[in-house]
Amino acid sequence: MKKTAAPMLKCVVNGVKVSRAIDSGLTLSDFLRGELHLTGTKTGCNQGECGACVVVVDGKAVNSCLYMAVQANGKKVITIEGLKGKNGDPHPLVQAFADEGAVQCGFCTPGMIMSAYALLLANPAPSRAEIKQALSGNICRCTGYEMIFSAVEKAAGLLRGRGGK
Amino acid sequence: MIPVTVVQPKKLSGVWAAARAAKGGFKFLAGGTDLVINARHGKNAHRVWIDISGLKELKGITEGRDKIRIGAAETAAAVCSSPAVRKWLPALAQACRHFASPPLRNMATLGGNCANASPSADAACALCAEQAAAVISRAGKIRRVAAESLFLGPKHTALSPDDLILAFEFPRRAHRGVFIKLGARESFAISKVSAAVAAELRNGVVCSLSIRLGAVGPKIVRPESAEKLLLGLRPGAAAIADAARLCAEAVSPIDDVRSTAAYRRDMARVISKRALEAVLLKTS
Amino acid sequence: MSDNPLFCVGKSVTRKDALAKASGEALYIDDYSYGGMLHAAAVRSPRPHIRIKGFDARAAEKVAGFVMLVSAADIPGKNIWPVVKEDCPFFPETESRFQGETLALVLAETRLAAREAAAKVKVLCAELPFVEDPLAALEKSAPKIYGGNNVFSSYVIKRGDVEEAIRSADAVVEGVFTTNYQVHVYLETQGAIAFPEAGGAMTVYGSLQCPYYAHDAVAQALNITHNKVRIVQRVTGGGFGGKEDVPALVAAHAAIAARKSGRPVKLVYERDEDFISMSRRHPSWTRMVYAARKDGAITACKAKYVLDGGAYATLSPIVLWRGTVHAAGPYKIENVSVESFAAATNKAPCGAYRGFGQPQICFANESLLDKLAEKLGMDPLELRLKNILRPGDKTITGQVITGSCGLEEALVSVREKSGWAKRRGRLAGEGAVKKGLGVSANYYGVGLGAGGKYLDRAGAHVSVSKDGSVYAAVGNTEMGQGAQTVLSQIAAETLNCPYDGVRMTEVDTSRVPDSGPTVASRTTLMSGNAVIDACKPLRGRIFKAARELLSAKGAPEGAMEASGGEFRAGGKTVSFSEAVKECWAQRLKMAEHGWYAAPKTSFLPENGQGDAYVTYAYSANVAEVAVDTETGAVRVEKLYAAHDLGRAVNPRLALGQMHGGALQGIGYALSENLVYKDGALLNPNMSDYVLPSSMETPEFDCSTIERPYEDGPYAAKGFGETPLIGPAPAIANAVKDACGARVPGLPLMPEKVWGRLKDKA
Repeated sequence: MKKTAAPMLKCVVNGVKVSRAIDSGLTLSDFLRGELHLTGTKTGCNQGECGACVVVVDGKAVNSCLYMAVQANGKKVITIEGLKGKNGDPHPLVQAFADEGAVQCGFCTPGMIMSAYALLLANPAPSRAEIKQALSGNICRCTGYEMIFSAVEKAAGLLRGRGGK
Repeated sequence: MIPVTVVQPKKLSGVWAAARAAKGGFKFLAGGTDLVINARHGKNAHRVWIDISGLKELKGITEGRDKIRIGAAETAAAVCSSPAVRKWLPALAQACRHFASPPLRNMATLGGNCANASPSADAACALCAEQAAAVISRAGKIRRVAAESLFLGPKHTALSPDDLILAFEFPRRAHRGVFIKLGARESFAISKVSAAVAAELRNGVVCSLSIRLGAVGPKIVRPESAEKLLLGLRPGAAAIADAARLCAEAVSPIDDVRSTAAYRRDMARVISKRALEAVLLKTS
Repeated sequence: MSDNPLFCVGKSVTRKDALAKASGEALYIDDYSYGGMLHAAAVRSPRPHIRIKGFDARAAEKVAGFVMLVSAADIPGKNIWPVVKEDCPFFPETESRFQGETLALVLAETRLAAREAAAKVKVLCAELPFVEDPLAALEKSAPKIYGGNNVFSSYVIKRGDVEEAIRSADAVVEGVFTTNYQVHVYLETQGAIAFPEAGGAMTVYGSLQCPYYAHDAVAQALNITHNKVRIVQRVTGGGFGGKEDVPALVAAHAAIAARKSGRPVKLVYERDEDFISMSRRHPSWTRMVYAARKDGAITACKAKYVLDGGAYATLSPIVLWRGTVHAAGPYKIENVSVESFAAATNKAPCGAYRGFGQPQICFANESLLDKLAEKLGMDPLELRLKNILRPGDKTITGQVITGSCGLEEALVSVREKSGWAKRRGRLAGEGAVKKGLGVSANYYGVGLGAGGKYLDRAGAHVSVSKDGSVYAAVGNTEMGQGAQTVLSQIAAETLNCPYDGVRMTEVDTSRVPDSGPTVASRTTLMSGNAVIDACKPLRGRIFKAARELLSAKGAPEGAMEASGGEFRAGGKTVSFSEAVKECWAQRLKMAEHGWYAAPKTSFLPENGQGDAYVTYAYSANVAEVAVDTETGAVRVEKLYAAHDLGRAVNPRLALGQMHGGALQGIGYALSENLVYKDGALLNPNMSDYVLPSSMETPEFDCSTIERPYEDGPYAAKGFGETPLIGPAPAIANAVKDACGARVPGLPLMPEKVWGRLKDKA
């Protein structure tokens, strides 16, 4: 089968418009890491089983290792690099993960934070049970999760205190 | 990076042109949660994928006068958060809520879960219990079949490669339903056994009942003798226990890496019993 | 070290690397790429035991981007990976001993091309008979894959007269216990990038725990001197023992490929490759006997302990040794006989995993101890309290326990917190769900001990810049456990500099001499002491300069308070950076090397007697479980734990080790189940090898007991592995308490609990 012209991918990544011709066989994680050099998104299993690659597309957490890049056409993608507070300060979730001991080896952390970010977009005041459920697709092998739950609760409180973002 | 070319028709009509152009064969790409994994393991003979995930003809959850319609490209997350599904299709709503993980639920589609035909597919199991009809198009020609008739065996369906499931349709009927699964984890687990039950009761008497069991046979199992036993009854715990035993007799589970046949058979009983109790004994 | 109260050690300061990791800035090995870099993919053995006849790469060569095939013939040096027994080749030449073993590498311009081409390389081979079961491997008739008897190593511990003690005991219990594999599943898979350098030198970046192991391996593979090899660790996404030995193999493979191609080579594993070929915890088989007097005093312990080592010895001898030394549990027992064997089988080699041979035998001894309590009609926690090691008691190797032993306090702590006396045997369930409590006690020899004493030393280099910032380099790695933070705290405390002023980066073998491996919970102790050793002379100079500056400011002579990065006297203050500036003005030496060698340890091979370890960490666990008696599913609802770690340098990090270790222990106990059939691994993925998720994490109630260890840095001893060891037997004992089912094999899959309950019914 002859290769057709490379398709254009037009989307918004971390608030920046992206428009470029890509190989349509790229997954979103390949595209973010390899083409945009946004290496904060990790791949731990490449089959949707670990959650390290989670990014947020149009407000929803997805496994970017199974999401074809061209499927992001016309959509808004947010990665860990896009989570910045005002003046480039760390986002409350990022800061809370650091402060609460929710980070050990750090490899699951960006995906974990993105799942938490998607949760807080939909539910600014989640219960602990809802946090556990929302993070159940993100495996952490280091922390035992407890401090991750505390970090999400703390960040949720901070974000509510300043009215969302 | 997957060695594949993804084409993205803008409309449903474009799908058929793309299909004709793909001389070496093609696969439909929806959520990608099975397709991409298989491709990574070299199980992808097709070098063209036709992305149908964005087609609006495959989207939407609508509540008609006598039918509920769910577009085949609706995700598990969209299905379980839909008020119409929660109201009219309780077993399906629960199956989608327990499906895989939160990010996978945002990707995986109802059509994909069905077309992949894993015997442990949770949504497919619930679709059968909810008496879904699949609306299928081949080159623009539409037909409707019972979703259950699509499943022929593990990963094997009655769909031809160019059959595209557009939607699932369900009779609009007030009923009770439940979906219970047993996996290796509380969440984000592949079912060892699952049970979907949908029932209509009138004055406490069972006037319709469908029971479906997943992961305990080459395809989704319908324990007809159990259904028959309870129909027309005002069931108590003893009748339910009897029906649950019939459920266990109806299954043909295997030993595999996830569990054993003997365990699965007994769990078919336990999970059916729990599902039937939840549906038939609850006071509403 | 200081008369001033500690300002940094003992405080829960924020991790050094937390913000970089949480913001996505931290760079792991796969986040780097370089111009001209090739990608490598492995050609793996299709079967458990084959004779290799060659490779047919014709189809692979046709893949666009294919560059070359690299195999045993391309190794310039000796084709033996230097680890313990030296029986494992970098690439096998004529015989491969397990399914998934790396036989060759394909190099290509892209990762996809490398993988596609590697999949197309045909391995020309003949199948050989293979052995899968370790007990079968020890039979005379088994196919021989190691020596004449398939025994990698064997130990004995003999003390007193066991047979006589058993004959004269009031109560004797016996049991056979088994445990399955456990895979680390660090979230970041193995990976390395090798760069050929001028003059035949080689630099390798990698995700690893033990850079000096990789250093030895690359030098041997390339036949170059150590001063031509540089190993630089990159931010490492978890290790748990899984990045102890095998990254040396990965690094050597990348280096061999880089040497042959003359280009940088990246080799990063896919998850399934990692599962199939990398190290894992040994499965075990134990037969054990305890004998006791009526009053509960344990008089004898007899054990036979067999580990399934896999196809090559790698770390099996040392893993077996640690398990052997700890076999009888943390109890004073006069009559002991332990014999242990590591058997060779045709499966991927087992190696280091947090706990290192102890979780297996601890499951056996702590399960059997509950059986003994039952037989004696005693409370199992009180039975433990009666027999545990206390200061002055002797271990089964005859080592006298020092004052740094808080096991009694740990047991009392979990007894009180769990409400043991009132709740055990009395927890209410609901419907099919029954609840129960179970206890376990364990201890852990800190550091390498007599089993690896020649490696038990560590270096450090501390340099104080003229702006007052401090750079500390050590030879033990940060892999997530918090080494950089804890060692920075120790440096800050010793120098009296602000914690934020200390920076550490990943280990670089060109900066610090061979400091041994980052294993055995030894980093805080070994590198911590090395950092103190480097800081001491600097501290002298900085404190002297500070005193001079205080005097110059008019402060009276005499005592000076030094804390929090400031020096104070008579109402005057000098900052750390002012003092450093003064040192530089005086042209003082502001960089120092430090060194620490562990105190002497010993182990006599003929009877297993000696001072096996420099000190021990202790812990006690109580698990509270709910068992669904219809499905056999076990859920840990609450875990109470107490750990004696000498001193918690950073209490929050210590708590993180307790939570994380405990959850790995819960996974080990309940769901992590690697399945082999006919020598082939059936579940090399994270769907069917089931790790605990956020939903499985119980409520934790963990605490520290601080019994200072006088040779430790600020009295700390290592403890990072201990939290994993105790949960599994505590859970098994709790399951028994809840529903009466005693499952003698890990993991306690629902299928097994259900089977036991059915047998009982």
